[in-house]
Amino acid sequence: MENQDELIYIKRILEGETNLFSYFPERYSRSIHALIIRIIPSKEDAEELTQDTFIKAFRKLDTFKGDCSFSTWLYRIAYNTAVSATRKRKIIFPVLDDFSLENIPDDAVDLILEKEDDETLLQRLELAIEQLNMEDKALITLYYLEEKSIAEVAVILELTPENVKVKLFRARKKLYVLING
Amino acid sequence: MTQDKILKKALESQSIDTLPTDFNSRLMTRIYAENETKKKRIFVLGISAISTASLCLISLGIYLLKDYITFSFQLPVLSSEAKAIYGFSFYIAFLVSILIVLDSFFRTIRQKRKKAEFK
Repeated sequence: MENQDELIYIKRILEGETNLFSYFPERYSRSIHALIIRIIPSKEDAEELTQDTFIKAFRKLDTFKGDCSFSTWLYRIAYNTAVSATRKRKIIFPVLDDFSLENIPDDAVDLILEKEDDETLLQRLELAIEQLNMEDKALITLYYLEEKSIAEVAVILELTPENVKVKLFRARKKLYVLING
Repeated sequence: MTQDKILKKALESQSIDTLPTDFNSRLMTRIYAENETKKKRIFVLGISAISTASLCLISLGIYLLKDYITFSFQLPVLSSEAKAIYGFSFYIAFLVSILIVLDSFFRTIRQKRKKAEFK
């Protein structure tokens, strides 16, 4: 129903009612900003890129076919905008040894991430998230914070759902490694 | 995986930076400016397309007439047949003009009706 309303808004915007576009930033600017700031650490840059995301969406509004929800389409623009910005600004993310991740048992990761009220762990986890690469940051933000489904995350990051699952498991293991120093 | 509550908590506590209160109004100002640019771009493209099409038609007309006069008539005097062709051409041009005006008129009415339906 919500998606249907948004399609009606889009149709009206394309017919000349530009003022209706304000609905989208009011609804999604916070979430889009939350995703971008996770990838681009500068507050000013993240704000500018959030604006750029909406302007790009406005420019390409006629290409939105409605095969996914508008928010998914918007997140995809935001992610691509942020990725392009990291390339332009030459932001380098630390690389973790993939071999070390293979040896970590899933149970150990589950055990740590199941805890809820451990303040020390929470602080270490916050620092660990900072050290993830941009794709992992985007993955966990979309899945855990924005509560997007695996299928939606796959559309946003242009991956297959299976690939998203694998990458999520690997991101959790990376966090485990980073927490334990 | 969705049970990783501490991970969600950590992500939530990191999302402290919020957008400025005037963010949406500043964004909408840029959107309106973008809309104006878009309209101008469409207008310029339309004018260019019409100009190109007109030039092509004029060139084609000149070429055909020149060819016709060269092969059929040696003298630059228009025969009654040529005059008839000119007359016919003007008649067609007049009909096309009327159709363009009618098309524009009905489009405007249709757009107005659509807008009224949404309101």
